[in-house]
Amino acid sequence: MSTGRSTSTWRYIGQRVIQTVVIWFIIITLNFIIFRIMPGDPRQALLGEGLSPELRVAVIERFGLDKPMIEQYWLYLVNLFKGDLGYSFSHFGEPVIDTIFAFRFMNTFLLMGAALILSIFIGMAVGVFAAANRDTMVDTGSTVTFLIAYALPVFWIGILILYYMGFLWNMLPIAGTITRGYSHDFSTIGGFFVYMFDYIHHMIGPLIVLTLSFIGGFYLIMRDTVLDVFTQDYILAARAKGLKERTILYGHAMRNAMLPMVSVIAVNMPYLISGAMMTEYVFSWSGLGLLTYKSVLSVDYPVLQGVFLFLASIAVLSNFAADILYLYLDPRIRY
Amino acid sequence: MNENIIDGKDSIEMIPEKKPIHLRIVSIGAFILLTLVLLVMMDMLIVSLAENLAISHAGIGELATEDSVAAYVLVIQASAVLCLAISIWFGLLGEKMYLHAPGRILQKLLIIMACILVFVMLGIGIGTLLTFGIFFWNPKQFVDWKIRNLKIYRMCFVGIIIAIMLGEMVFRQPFLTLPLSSILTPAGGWVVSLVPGFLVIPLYLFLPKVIRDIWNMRPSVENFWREFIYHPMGMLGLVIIGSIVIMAVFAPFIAPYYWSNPPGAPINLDELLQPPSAEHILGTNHRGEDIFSRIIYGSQISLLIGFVASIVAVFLGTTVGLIAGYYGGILDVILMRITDVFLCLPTLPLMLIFLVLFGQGLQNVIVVIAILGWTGTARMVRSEALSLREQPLTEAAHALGASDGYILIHHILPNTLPLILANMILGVVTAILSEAGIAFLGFVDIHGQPSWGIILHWAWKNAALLANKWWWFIPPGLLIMLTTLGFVFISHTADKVVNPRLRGRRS
Repeated sequence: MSTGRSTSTWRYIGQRVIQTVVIWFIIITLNFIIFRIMPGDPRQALLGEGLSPELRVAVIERFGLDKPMIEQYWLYLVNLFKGDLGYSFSHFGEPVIDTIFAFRFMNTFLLMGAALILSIFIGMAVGVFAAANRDTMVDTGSTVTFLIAYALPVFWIGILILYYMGFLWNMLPIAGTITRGYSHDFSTIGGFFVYMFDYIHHMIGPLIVLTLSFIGGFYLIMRDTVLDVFTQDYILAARAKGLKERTILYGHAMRNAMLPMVSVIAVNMPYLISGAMMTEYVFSWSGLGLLTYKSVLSVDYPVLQGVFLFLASIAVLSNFAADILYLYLDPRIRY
Repeated sequence: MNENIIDGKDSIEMIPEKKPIHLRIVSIGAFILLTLVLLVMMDMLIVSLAENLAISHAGIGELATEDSVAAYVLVIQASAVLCLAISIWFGLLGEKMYLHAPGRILQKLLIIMACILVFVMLGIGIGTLLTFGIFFWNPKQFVDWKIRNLKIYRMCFVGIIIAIMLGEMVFRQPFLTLPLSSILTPAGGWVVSLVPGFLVIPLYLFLPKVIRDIWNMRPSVENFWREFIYHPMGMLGLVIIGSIVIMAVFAPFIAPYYWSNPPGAPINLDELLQPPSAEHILGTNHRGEDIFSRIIYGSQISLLIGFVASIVAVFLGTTVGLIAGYYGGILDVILMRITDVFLCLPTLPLMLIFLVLFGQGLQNVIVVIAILGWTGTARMVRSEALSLREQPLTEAAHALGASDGYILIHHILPNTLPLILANMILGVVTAILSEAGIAFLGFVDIHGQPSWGIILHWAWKNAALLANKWWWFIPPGLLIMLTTLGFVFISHTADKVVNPRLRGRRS
């Protein structure tokens, strides 16, 4: 019995792996096509105006832009698997891998990770609490609060925080990830902790904004699922057994309500990243979002392609991870 | 005996005369409102379709004078109104339009129009394929053919056409560069004009029926309202949205100034960047335009994009979801994989890239938001359709000889309607927020009629923060927040009313 189950589980996982790879491959191809159907030649953006014809031809040949599409596609695939995403147009010919991963990825990762953890914890805790006290003042109050958070335009709340806390009350720095003039080599500015405090000080503003923008959705889903779980028979059974209300709430209801959260976080990954992008723009937080904005403006196709691929891959992977996690978390699901 | 008495009491209470007047007002008001919205949307779609056709195909447009575009649009609009009148005539006055000959003739006519549209826009190959698919896929003459023969017949036709198309491509241009670029590169116009084309035609067919269904929906609207009225949150949302819609509709009468200076007017330096005063309630911007008026006019764009983008997205999602869920099989697999791919695309970067690619007009903003926003609806509608397909009503309808299309439209679609409406309200929130974000980053037409996001963009660009000009950046953001909050309140309350599970276990 148990072996039969496990083989079908493995088959399910295998299917998901194949699907994920297919989707990822489609996204790679899309990523190639989108940047080839641009009206106006991408070569134009690279070359600019005042180049001599010989130099122009040389550059075009150097980057392989005169080859047929099929060959370019093949080269693109081969280079991709070698980890070579090309060279940035606007960052002085820096490799795109460096542009993305040197420090920008870390900045975005720290900001988004902190905001996600904060908002998931607060949203879940308050959501469960509100569901347990349904239709009381606590429930209504927190629901209205989080609905407001859900409806907030991310960038506007960022502007407000900049205006009040940064500008009028002088509590927060206005822009950047560290104080201007500090170098990233923290031995020169008085040790690691000084650097870290400065970094965190700069992070507070964007962190508040991002947490606010994430938290509403998490709270609402948590509250709704817990309410839904409360109508299930096993909760009634637990009550009939005489379990304590607290045990029912955190042991039974919350654990089961966690399941939808996992898939909601995975599915909403692209939206979360978009929110992070707006925040980074407002606070000049030098991460992937700001990089995308600047690359769109300066028509930096290789960087755009790289960022696009990277973000899409994260979404694909998180969807896959959510499905596998589901399998582990919910013992009722067996394929 | 006891029960009889209680029943009697109940029926006494339910006597129609005692129905409060506000119920009637709400139900009839909702009918009029929805019908008006439908008609206006229809008209807008026709106009944008005509304009795009004129510009992208007929060659009228930027090169020619303004007059010829207007005339072209007028002609198409007039013929559309004529068609509409005919179909409303059949739908409302003639009984059961869709069963009688005139209605069918009209349907055929409209299908032919669709084919012609595709011929015009996408060329002979795809047009022929579409015509074949609609009219000759299942020809009546071949009734006694075996399925295998029919399959060969279809394969042959499709194969020949595609071979011809491919051949043309290969011999005229290097391999594989042509097909995508020749269809997509001549700007968004081609793609964009295709979208309203596919939207208008089904609307033609179903508008009269939809209007009648809305009229028949009055009892459920009344029931809904009975519950809804006890939730102050939902009422608050309704009031907020109502006042903002009124503000948008009557903007020219409310706003003290126009949203821009008259063209060619001399720039008066004393007028620039004024703080609030009696003349300009919220001051003026860097071009001396009245910010208060701009905000009021801004509500038009923000609401328009919110509603239209959400409706287009929900329409796309519903179509995909219904087809995938109902037919299942390989179609389901393909459509759902496409949905998965769209689900993984990073939204905001892609929107920016698309807008840079295809131009920053209003329709492009709508299309971009809609294209990236339909996946959620598609998934939900699919799972709903999957479960509805298994229910006895579908089997019964099949047994009575109903076709798949009939079952989809008459049985499955109405049952998924609450879900679709809920998605639409939340879609408006997403669309308004996305539009505000894109506009704030400056990727829409920032010199045209402003939306709230555009006003914020200019405030940001002109360092209103550093200059302490709170009147420039706080009111537009507040309005965005109020609008989305209104919709969120309504959707939250509606969820409570419609979804009885959330009301808790009845003991």
